Amino acid sequence: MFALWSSLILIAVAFLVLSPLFMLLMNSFETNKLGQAVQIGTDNWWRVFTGARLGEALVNTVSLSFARQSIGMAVGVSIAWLIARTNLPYRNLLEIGFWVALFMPALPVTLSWVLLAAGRSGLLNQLAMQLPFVDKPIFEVYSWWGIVWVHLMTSSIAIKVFLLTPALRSLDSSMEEAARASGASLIGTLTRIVIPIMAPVLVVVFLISMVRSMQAFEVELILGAPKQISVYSTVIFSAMTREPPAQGLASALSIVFIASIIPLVILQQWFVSRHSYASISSKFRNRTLDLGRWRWPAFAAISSLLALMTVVPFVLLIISTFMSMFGVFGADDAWTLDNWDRALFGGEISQALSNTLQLSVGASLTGMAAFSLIAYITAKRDFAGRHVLDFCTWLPTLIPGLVLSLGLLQVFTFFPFLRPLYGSMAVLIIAVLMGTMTIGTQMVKTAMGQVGRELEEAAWVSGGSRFYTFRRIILPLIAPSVAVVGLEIFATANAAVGIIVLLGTGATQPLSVLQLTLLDSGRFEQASVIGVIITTLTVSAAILARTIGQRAGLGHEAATA
Amino acid sequence: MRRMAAVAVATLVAFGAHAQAPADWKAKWDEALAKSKGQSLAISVHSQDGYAASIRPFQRKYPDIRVSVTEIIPDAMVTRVLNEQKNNVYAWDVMWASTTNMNSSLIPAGAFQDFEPFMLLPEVADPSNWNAPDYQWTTPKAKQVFIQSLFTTNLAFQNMDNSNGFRVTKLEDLLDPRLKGKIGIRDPYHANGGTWTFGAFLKLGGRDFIKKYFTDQDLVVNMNPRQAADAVMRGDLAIGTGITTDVISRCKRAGGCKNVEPLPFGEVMGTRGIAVFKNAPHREAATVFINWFLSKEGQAAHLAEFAKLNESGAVSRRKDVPPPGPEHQATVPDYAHLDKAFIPGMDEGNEVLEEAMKIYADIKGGPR
Repeated sequence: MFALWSSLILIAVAFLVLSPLFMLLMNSFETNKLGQAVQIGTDNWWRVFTGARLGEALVNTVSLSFARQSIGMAVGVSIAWLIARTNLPYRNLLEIGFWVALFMPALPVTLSWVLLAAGRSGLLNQLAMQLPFVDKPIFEVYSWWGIVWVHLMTSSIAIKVFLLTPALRSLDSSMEEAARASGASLIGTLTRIVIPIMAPVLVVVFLISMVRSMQAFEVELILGAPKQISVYSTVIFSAMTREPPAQGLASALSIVFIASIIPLVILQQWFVSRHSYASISSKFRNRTLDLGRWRWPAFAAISSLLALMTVVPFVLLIISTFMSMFGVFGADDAWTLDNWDRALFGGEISQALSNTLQLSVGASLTGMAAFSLIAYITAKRDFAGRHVLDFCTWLPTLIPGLVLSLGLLQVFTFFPFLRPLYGSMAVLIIAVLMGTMTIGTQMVKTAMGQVGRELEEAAWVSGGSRFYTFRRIILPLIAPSVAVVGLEIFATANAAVGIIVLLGTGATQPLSVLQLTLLDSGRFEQASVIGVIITTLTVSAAILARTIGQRAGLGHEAATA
Repeated sequence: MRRMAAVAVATLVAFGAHAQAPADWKAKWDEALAKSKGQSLAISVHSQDGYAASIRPFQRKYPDIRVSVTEIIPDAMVTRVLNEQKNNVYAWDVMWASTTNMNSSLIPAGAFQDFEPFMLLPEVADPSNWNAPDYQWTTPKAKQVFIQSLFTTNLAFQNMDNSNGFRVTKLEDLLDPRLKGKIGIRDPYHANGGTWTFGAFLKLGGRDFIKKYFTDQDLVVNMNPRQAADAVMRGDLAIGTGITTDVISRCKRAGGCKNVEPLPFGEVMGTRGIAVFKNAPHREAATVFINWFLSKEGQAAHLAEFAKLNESGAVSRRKDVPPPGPEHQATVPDYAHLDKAFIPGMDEGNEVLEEAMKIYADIKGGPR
């Protein structure tokens, strides 16, 4: 019975994942202009490999991604460990602070950094130039390092803390205590005990972050274009938004990207299969380490970083919602309530808010259940197709959002049995689930990998069925990771644009699309209001989920009970 | 010019046919009204302020027609509808947007159907009710995209604070070395407000001018429209192109941007057009909407809603619907001399635009 259900899930996931890829592959051989009679050829592939500046874009992509992931990983792991495993003051508040940083809308935050650090007009530079020994701008956000900085301040560090903190909480503290008792320092305990045990999780998080950063294009588009810094994702974006859209070229570029990442996925699978440690057993203990005299300095350092990541851009975001024209401070009539008035009472928000809630709640609930099930099959069972299933879950994240949206559009219009769903909220939910499948499944899977098999076996010996064991033993133990995955899906759904832009209709358009409309009209200030609403919505949901989780006693209490 | 004359003749013949069959239109109109009740009209509009809002008066007047308005960037709509139609999915009825993509991508792909059969009411079909009847359609090749609005727009601005005291008064001034590295453009490989100025400058100054402009001036690319506007408003750049008048007008209204002025040349003629998709699933509802929208009542309601959200450009080609304020009146074109204007949303303008973009690509290399 289990094998049958697992096979059905494998077929469903493989269809959902492979069919858009197949469509993209077909597109890549179509050399005609979109809408003209189909002509088959290899021109698109030829252009991929002979594109004059593609090499330069590739170098930028790899170097930018590597720089911010290296810094992000070092800082993110340290902070996540300090929050999860030590007596750092106000650690729960700090964790929520990193969630806020992660959930802030990327475009307004990027433009806020432009306001602060762009050449002569940057406010920080203007302040600095008041000093007698400074006669030119110190900061330049329009640069290679500017791109790295903005990514670090938006997602590169925050996502590590977001994903790793629950996993680190699942680490049995007896191992750290043994290290400390044997005379190891805090740093030594982190580098010689924690990191090796957490290696499978770290590898997954690093790979997911690396792929995401290689696909990121909004920041690169804004900060890179004036200095002619292009990356692979902006090349794909450019092909997709050309007139008429060069979707054959975009598809070929995407397939090359996927093919180049697949070896890393296989390497990750190989590594995890050989370095998996169960840290939650029947003897699980979760005590925090005492930081001693480093407690407050560590708090000061992390809270300062957090202030840069959240307070500075959020204050600018809030300020922009009350300005007639963001950044024009010297205007006679600089401040206004009109932006809030238009956003809240303009007649568009109620439907968009309702759609956003349907999309985000629907996607997060479905995603938590579906990804837990998929992760269970791939992590725990001896199902023959589990490696194929695991591999399939990696593929959607390798496809850029706009291109995945195109693939899904073609799938849902090509197959007659799927057409009734086209244009409905269900398609948007599926699109969001596709976009979050990798992170969702892999995070739940690594959490499951930390659960000792003896717990399951004890339940089976006591007469529990597999489903009962999954529901009563596994699920409560991995609840914190599942909740984080739910939040990630919720946040992605709230901010989704590229992945749904080709699939939504007026009846299903969410707040994020309304925000895009306002940005397209140059109404940055009103778009910021929507940004504040989206951020508030996501953070409120996060706090609510955390509160409910704590009251319900989900998590490790089940294991230690 | 020959093309324009052909369009004019075709238009007059078409309207003449309508005028000769008043009884016919009444029966068709009544039939459309009756059948449209309960239908779900799917309209795609440009994702800019004022488009979706302009549909709301129709929803109030015809509550029996369910209307789904989708705000979408025209590029994305092109991708979407052409992929749908490739798989024989016809989900949309009407598109109302800036006509550039409609004319250059959707008409050649056969995405629309002939528009004239949908124009039933005499006040809509009567050419004497519309200014510039030669500019009724975006192309002489197909009467599919009806231009409902022509309006002038300034897309290039100068900030005197960052011009080293140099004021640009004529096209050739743009080649002044003092402006090197201080002129902002938008995505140069994509039709947008920025590349429209390429076309306008090419039409004004010719190929030699535009080549020098691209080669010598180290143009700075800003991909985001607001980023492009901010760069000029804050004084990072001296000249910004592809900036909507709306943003600068709002800045001035708030008391800022005192030294930001439009360049005294290079105006572009904007076009908004309406079309019916091939195999539109709700033909009767589409008919009712089009005739309401293009009527005096519909255009007046549209302009009123559009003006609430835009500082300029609330202009209808209808003679009996004046712009709702002086700032909008200022963007009414000189209908008698439209042949001098650069209109990227029509065939001739689109050809100039494509030529300008090609020259850029030849000089700077193709799109990355």
